[in-house]
Amino acid sequence: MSDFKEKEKGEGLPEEEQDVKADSPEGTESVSSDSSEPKESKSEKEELEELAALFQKELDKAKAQTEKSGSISDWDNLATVGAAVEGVKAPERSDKAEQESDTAEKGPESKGEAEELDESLCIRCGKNERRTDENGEYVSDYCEECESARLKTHVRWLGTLLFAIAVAVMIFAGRDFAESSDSFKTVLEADALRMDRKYTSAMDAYYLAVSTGNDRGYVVKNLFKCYEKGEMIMYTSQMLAQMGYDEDTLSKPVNSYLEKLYKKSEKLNLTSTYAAQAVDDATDDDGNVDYDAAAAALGELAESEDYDPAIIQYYRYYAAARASKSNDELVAIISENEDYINEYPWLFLPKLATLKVGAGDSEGALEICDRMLELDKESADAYIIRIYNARMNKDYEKAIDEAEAAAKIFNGSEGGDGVTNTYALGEIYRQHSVACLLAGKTDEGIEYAEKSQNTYRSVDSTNLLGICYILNGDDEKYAETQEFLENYGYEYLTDVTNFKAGKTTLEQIFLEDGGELD
Amino acid sequence: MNMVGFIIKILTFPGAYLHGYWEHIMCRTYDCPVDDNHYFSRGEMCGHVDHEFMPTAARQFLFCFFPMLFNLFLGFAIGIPAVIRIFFTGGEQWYHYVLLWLGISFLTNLFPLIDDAMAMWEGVYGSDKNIFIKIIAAPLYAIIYAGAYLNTYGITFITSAIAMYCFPLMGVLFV
Repeated sequence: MSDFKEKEKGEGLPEEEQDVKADSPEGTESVSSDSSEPKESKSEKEELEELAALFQKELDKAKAQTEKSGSISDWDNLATVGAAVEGVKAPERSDKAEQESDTAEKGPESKGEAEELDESLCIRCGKNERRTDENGEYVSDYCEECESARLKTHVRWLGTLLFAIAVAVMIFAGRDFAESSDSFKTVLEADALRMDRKYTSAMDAYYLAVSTGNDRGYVVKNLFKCYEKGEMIMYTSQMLAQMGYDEDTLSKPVNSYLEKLYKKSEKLNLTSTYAAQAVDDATDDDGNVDYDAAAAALGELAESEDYDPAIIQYYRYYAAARASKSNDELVAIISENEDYINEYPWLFLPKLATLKVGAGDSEGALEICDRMLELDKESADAYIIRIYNARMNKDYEKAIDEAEAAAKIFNGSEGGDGVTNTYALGEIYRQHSVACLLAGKTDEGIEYAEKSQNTYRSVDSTNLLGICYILNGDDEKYAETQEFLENYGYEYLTDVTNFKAGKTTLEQIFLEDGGELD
Repeated sequence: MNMVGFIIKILTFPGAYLHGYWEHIMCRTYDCPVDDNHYFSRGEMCGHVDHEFMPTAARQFLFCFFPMLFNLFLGFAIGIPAVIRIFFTGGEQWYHYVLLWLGISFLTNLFPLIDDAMAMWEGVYGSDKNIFIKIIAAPLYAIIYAGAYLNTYGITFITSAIAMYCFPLMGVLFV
């Protein structure tokens, strides 16, 4: 647009400059010299007028085109104006200029026509007309070629390549999965057992995974979740240390649960140590416990936050039991705080159930056993107490049936499908033997007493063997068993020697005063 | 698409690109015109193709469903072995982390554009379809619809990581 303004000022127009010079004194002279030719001056004027009109047309045309295209440069128009002024090609140019000026004059109208033309063209290519129907109405924004092209846009080869790579990677990942599937299956089996509350079997499965080198946090964490549910919590801090979990490792946020468990275990063990010491300090040389002194010492421990109050409560029961408190007193102590029972059910519930049996509350004892099995389906104490309860109620056949059923659950150490728990199996066989002896099935009683001894040797199982050999009149084996005990610093219990001397009966030993060998 | 969503697309570009690829395949299969076949571009079309809506509700559903299905299958097939090694059994190598990233990238880019999801939804629930069909289709349609929204904000990255971790543990139901 600036070029046109310069043209208006007269630059680049030689004819105009000549006209300007005509206005100068020299020009005046030339004019005066030409005064004899008035027609020529008129033609010049007319030419100037025509030139002005032409210039205006060109300007209007340029404006119209600028509005259409938004361009400020139109060198063709400039050349047209220049040629018109020179007058050499004026007729042709003027025709063209007239055409173009006509077009410029028709600016608004041609713009509309242009728009109509644009609307009729394909919006994709801008060249062909849009597809129409039979009536000539537009049915698409695209021409037929573009519509066809849009339906067949080429699929990018990179996508195909990426898919092929993904398939190859998938095959590779599948092979890796096959290699790790057995190990993962072990973890899943352990998880299934834990979720089914079979904590003993779950622990065995997690141990198997860890022993094959699986030290993932997921496995370790779930292993110790099983620890927390039973007496194994006492060994948690020790096990974590063995597995390399030091203070720094436990302090990481991802190990917050293990840290909590570690501290709980440490606190439990510390409390147990000091509480046991307090009870020992209240015990005289004959083994008699001064309950009041023990309770006072335990009370002092309970005031400190460093010790677990639930464990202190348990040691109160322990001191009371050693002080030969009555059954009712013991029940009152052990069941004083329900929160303690809920925190350590594996510690309190077996004692409470046993006390219930001793108090003659058979139904109450069985309810507690059911509660123990709800918390842990592989609770050995629950099954043993059920056998004990039946025996104490003199229902020996039921006791034998309970023992046989329980043995199937804990026969893992004998190659069975059950849990591997040698203590539990040994104790079940021992209870089975006692029930058989009381039922008069001496041979079967001896068989199970020997199975108990071979499965899990204990003072109770060894003394029971002594009872069996007395019943069988086998003095040789009785002597061998006595020698076995003495090798470990033990001797036959009073009940065994009294039974041999004929001072007591089987019923007195196994049905009175707790029903166990003393 | 907001910036977070776009950044997630960049981080999970294999899945985004392949999802656009599947959508293009679907368009070619069902004769749907495609205006722009760039699968990975800036803006909300990243991971998608610019196309017209499908002519029928069934095709619109399949257009939304099949790319999701293909990416889902690839994501789990590639990612789960890596998750098992890294989190559950041990013995992982460097390439397991690459597999994990690939798996999560595929799972992050499961869902269609919101426009496509809305068209899919309208195709069944905005029409006189049988009430039985509406009931049967409701869960899957809801998942795709919700996923399309989450995908806009890149939240599917988080959900895919969680799903990748939890899915192997479902095997506990079968042991």
